[in-house]
Amino acid sequence: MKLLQKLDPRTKIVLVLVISTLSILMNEVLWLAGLLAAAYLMLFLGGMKPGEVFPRLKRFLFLFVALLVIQSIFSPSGAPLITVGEIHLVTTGGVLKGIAVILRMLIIVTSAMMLLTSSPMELVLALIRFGVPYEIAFMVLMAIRFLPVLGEEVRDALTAIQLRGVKIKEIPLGQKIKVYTYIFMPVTASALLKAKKTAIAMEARAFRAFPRRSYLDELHLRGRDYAVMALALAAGLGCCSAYFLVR
Amino acid sequence: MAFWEVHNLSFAYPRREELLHSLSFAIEEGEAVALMGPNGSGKTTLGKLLVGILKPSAGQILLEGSDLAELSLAEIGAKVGYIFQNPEKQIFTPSVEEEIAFGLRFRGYDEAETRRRVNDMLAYFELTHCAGQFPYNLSQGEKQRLAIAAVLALEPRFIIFDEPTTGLDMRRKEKFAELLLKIRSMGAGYLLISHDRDFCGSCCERLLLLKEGKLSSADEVAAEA
Repeated sequence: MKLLQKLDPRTKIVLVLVISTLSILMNEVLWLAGLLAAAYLMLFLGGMKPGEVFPRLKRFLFLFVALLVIQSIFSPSGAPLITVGEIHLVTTGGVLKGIAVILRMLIIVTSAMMLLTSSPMELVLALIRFGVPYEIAFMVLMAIRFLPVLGEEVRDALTAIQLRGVKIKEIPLGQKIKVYTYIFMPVTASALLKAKKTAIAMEARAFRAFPRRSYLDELHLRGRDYAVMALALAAGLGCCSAYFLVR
Repeated sequence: MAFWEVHNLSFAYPRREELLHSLSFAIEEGEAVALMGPNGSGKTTLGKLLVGILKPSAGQILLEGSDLAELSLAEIGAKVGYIFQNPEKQIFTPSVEEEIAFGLRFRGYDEAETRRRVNDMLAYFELTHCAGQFPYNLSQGEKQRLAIAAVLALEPRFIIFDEPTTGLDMRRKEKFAELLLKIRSMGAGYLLISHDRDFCGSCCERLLLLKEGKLSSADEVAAEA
């Protein structure tokens, strides 16, 4: 079994919180790059393979490029790289800020991948043990459960539209936008109907009928969990202090 | 040349065992075929492969001699209509009549012809009373009829029905059988994916049995019965 799988989900949540908090506190590209490297190291030492990590990041590629461009344009500082008239479109400072934002996002996404080694139910139990009300934790579980279903519905609606003979790639932009608005209707309606049916099914099984509830699975913190949490908090505090001292 | 020619078709969902093993068969234009088999045998999957919703792991599907892999869904949809098992998957407009009119408008039919076809379909499928309603508020049977009406309005040359009799009462089942006859009389063919052996037997001239990823011949289907 992978090392990360052996850890209690609460330990993983603490690890993710420490890494994510550090990435928000830090602004320097070098520090962020170091933190990203540390996050990858933890994932790989924890037993995850590069093939499990990097393909998941591909879907964020467009967002990263967009962030880089937006940051470069709207946060100008330093030497100009691209100038139109008297306006500095891309500057060295802007590019560095863009890279910092991308690194920050990469760190958050990468560290959150540690949570993928726990089942959604284990994560809900962990949130409850952290004092999150069961109703809220259950809502999180439902969101995790239904996100792929919503994605599938978007694909189905798009398939149905195309099978009616609509060549999405070839129609003009105005019509294309109109076609895409059609997709939101079945997805929203279906989500609302599912929510209604799920609420009835939950109430039929006595959801919230009693103030206290028991759980089939229990979480237990072991020695290694305490050790990892202590180490993560100490390393986090150390990094934070070093960062502000060096600055 | 057959309407569909399937050569050594195999399919597996990602990270799952192969579901369909090297299937080869042909379906002629205007033919009425039933595809039967136990739950999970891959009937719906085969139907989706035939219209390009899923891509084969190996093998080739030819639609009127053209490789399906090189056709867009819109090009396939211009020849073949597909009725999903769950009608909600193919309903996407805010009103019943707009659902039927959608494909006609995108194919450039004028408003008078669109109106005529929409009214014909509403009347035939007994949906006139709910023409302006939000489709998601219809009953399951009405949704099923709407999904069929929206596809039939486009007059495809071949239609795949995935479990079409689910949610239909006896009278509407008979009406659906009449509709299938009408489709045949128009020269179009259909593939019924169904568990309803009696219905398939009465409405189709050829039965295909899908079992453990292989197709059985008509004789084996008869023996099975």
